[in-house]
Amino acid sequence: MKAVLVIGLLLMLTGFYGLMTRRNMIKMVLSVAITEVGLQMVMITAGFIRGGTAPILTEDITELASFVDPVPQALVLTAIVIGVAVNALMLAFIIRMYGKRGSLDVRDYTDSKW
Amino acid sequence: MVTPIYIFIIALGIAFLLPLLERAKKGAAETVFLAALSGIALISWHWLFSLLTGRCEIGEIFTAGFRPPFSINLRVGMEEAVFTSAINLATLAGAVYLIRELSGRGTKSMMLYLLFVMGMNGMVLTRDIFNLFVFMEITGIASYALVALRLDTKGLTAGFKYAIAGSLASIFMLLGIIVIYMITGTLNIDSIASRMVSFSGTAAAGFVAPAVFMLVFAFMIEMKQFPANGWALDVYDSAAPGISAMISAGSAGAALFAIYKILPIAGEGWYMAAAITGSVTFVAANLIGLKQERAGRLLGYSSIGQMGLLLTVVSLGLKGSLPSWQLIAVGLFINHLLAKAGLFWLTGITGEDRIRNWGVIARRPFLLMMMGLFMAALSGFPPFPAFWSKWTLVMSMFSGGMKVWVVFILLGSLFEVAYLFRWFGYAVRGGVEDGESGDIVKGTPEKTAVIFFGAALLTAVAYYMMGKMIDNSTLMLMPLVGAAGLLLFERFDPRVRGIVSLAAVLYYGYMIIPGLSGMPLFFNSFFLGGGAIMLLATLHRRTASRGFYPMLLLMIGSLSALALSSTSLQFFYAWELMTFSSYILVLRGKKAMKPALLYMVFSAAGAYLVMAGFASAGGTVFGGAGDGIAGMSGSLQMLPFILLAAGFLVKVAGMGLHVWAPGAYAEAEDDSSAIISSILSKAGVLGFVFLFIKAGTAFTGSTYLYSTIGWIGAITAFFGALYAAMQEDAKKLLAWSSIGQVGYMILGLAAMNQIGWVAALYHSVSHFMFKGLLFLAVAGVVYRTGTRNMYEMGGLIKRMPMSFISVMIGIIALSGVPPLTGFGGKWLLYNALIERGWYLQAALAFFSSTVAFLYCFRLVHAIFLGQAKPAFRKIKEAPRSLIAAQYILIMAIMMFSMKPSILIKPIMGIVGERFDTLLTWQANTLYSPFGYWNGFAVMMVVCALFAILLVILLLISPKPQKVKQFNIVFAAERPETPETTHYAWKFFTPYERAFSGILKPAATRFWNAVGEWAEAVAAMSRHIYSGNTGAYVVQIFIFGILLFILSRGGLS
Repeated sequence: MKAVLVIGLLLMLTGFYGLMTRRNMIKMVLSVAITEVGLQMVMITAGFIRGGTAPILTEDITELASFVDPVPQALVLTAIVIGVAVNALMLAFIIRMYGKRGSLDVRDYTDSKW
Repeated sequence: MVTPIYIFIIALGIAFLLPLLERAKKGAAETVFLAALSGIALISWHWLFSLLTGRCEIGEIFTAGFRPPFSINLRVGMEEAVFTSAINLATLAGAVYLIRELSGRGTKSMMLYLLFVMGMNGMVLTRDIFNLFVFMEITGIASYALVALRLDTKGLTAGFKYAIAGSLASIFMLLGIIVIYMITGTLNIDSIASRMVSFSGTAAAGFVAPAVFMLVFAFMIEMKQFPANGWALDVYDSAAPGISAMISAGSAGAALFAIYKILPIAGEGWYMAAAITGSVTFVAANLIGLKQERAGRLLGYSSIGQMGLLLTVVSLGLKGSLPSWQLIAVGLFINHLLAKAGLFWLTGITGEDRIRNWGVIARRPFLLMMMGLFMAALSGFPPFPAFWSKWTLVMSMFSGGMKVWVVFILLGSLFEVAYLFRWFGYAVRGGVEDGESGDIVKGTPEKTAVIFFGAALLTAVAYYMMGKMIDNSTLMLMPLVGAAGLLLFERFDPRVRGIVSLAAVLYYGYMIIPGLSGMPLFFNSFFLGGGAIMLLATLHRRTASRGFYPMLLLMIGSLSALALSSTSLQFFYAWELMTFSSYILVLRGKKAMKPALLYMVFSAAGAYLVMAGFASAGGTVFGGAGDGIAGMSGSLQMLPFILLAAGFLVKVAGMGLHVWAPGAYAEAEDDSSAIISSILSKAGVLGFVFLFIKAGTAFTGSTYLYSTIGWIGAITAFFGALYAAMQEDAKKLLAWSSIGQVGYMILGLAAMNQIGWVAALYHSVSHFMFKGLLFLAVAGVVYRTGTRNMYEMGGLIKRMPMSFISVMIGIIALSGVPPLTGFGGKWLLYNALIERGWYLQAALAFFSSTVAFLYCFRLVHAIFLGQAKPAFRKIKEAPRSLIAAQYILIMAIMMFSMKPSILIKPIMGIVGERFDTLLTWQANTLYSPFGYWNGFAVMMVVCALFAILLVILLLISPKPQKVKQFNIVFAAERPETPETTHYAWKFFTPYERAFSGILKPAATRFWNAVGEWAEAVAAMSRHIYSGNTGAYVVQIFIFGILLFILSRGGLS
């Protein structure tokens, strides 16, 4: 499980790096997406129990302690949905912007400044 | 009680129903949409009302049939009710304002708007940290889309920037939330806070600090803290103004509430870091705003600054350093909400983004008035909520020992005043650059109504807060009531308005003066009596003069309130009211844009000094109410004394702090100039009187301080006279002369003996009479000739003999020669100074009055003597009401000159037993330790001397021959252009050369440099907001690092 945590954190750092260095807007959105994936991996490790079971109450459950924590899983689901929605919206903006100015370089969109 | 769950049910349900409804019946969507928003608003108002009246308890709403921490819960306490009510009110009004635009974009935009509103309500109500995140995202996504609603490149870019910043914030927030959940095992905000404490010292403690850091960092991004806020500026700049209004007013408020919930989780170590971040943001945003030329972005800077200030207040409040911080925060928030939204809405109506072109709004007096009202509110002028909040804030900060904070907050506020009123100056005086002057701003009825509604609500909140905060609020409200009442007469003829104002002042004086004694009596009689005479002079106005009389009445009323004040808050309230109304009066002058701004900035700075002075004086009651101040209490110490004196020195235009005065006095409308320089300038004198009474002479350093103030007075008198002599412009001449004359009064007061005080008060009245007289006479001349340059006049004695006599009497009184009132003032002053042992000051004062002869002569010679210019050969005498007011003043001067006792005896009574008695009366003769003065005898002697001289002259001169005006011959040659034989330009060039060394305008240069430096810093700093989203991302990370360093400092 540590591996997932480490990979998640590395993905987040990769995403941050990309967000700071890329100038192509689609790549910036992808960087955000990569960061989010990393974050989601970090999040699901939170409730993990080695050898645990799904948190579903059935007749033959005897020990509740083996349940993995359902809350982080619910949070991850919500976070994924929200992340996808925002990314989709950003991509929609980019399509419109490209249609107006024919450029994907974020430096070409600095009309409002100072 | 209606459970607030319905807020979410209504919003979501209607949002999904809207497309169906639109299909069923065209146009139904708008109605249902507004009804839904009203329903949401009603729920929150119902809670607020019930909580206020005590009809219900704090509402805890559980969901999903479980108690927290096993379910999400909502809470509606007082704070939540206030914030949701305010947000829902603003968003409902905002929806009405936007309705055409929204419905033009189809039902989708209305759905977005509903989600936006729901998200904000959720952010305020929820007690679950993950739920808070969800609502924040809902608000966020809805706002990204609303920002880009117009689908133009600017809006889309702004939406993209906003989304990137929002995504970063949510990533950090989630990371923080999940770690906190791992440590504490709960998402409930209340449980987290209590459980966090128990982890100190355990293994998990190592994770607490990073988790908290990420959480706070995320909220700081949402709060748009410096320097991680470039994206927010671009959003305010680019979105439709109606949308910007909602983001600035609504979602910023919701974010503030969220951080208020989060900070206790973060723990005490974070309060200081958050407060520092907030103050830095407040100062930085307002400083950079100085260079801003575009309305939307300017409002953006102001919004961000306000958020910083609110963050500071909330953090310090949670830390326990600010008593009554809730009141401060709510006042600032509601003020910001309504005023900022109002200004954004106005921007939407004018459709003009460059502030230089805001002259377009001047043709719509109603909108202009609304703009002035929002400006006043935003800059913290009374009676608006921010005024009370800022006062309480500064008072509590000082009593808590947080002096440095006060400095920064006042500095930031000053920057804000500067750029806001620069904009307002353009709106009133700017005109339109691009020749589009034909355009008249048209607001649709619903937009105008929304703006009016916002203003009315702001006023109502102001009224409510005023009643809670200030003693004797009815009396203090009178000036505002009078001004508002006069607005009802705006459609009448100017003369009707003038007469109504005059009647109002007289009635008010009749009601109030008989019950007074002491200093309040003196200053009230002075302000109200003088105001009445000056009002009489304004009756010649024929032009529309919109808003002139209400502002004039407000100014006279606030001066009266100033003299009636018995607490420091009352004093400061009246002081600020006076500043604002006189600023508007100055701004009415045709070329007054820059002088008025200078006046406003200096006045605001002076007022902040006064406020800081009051704060540092602590609980000392400051004011002039009757018997309350008998005797010197010696209760003030050095710091408050210096601060207050510095503030008052700005008002009296003491040398060095005077640069605002010549322009403001001279560029105001002609009759306003008379009022401002003869009456308003005495407000500073009043301030000194109250201050010196309170301070006494017993505190440490008092000798040096009084002597410094005395010297400043003397130097002001000298330079005022010197500069006056060098002016070509008659009004500028009188303006400089007024500056100098007030210097004598300060000198007299600073002498701190009976004669000095009598001299100062006597000279106040005397100066009012002769300076009012001179200004009115010059106003008449300028009115007829259309120029203020004296060298363009000349020979007007034949055409305007009445004005000539006025000026003649005026300058005799001014120059301080016998027999008129000015002599008495000077005589008393020299006595006082000799008594005090201030010989050098006395010499300088004496020399200054000699210099005064130069400009006095100039006034008569250049305007009235010599050859008339051809253009002015047929002009008429000044209008009758101007002349009438002048002759009332002349009669007063004559009366007081003949019988000085009718003025000096009451003044001696008012000065009273505070000092050793030095002056005594025997019959009509006044005795001082150094001599005596009988006004009547002096008058008789002077008249007799003149009569004898006249007779001798008549006897010895040969029979006079009448010469026509142009019957002149020079060296046997007739000049072609006789009018050039009277030269008046650069009349005193030899003196100017002689004095050239000290005539350099050092103070003006110094203050110009200060202004240029501030602008240069602003111009440099604002380049960090390059508009590049990539750069903004980097800035967010840099901000994170800075915040981390700050928090380590704060935690240790």
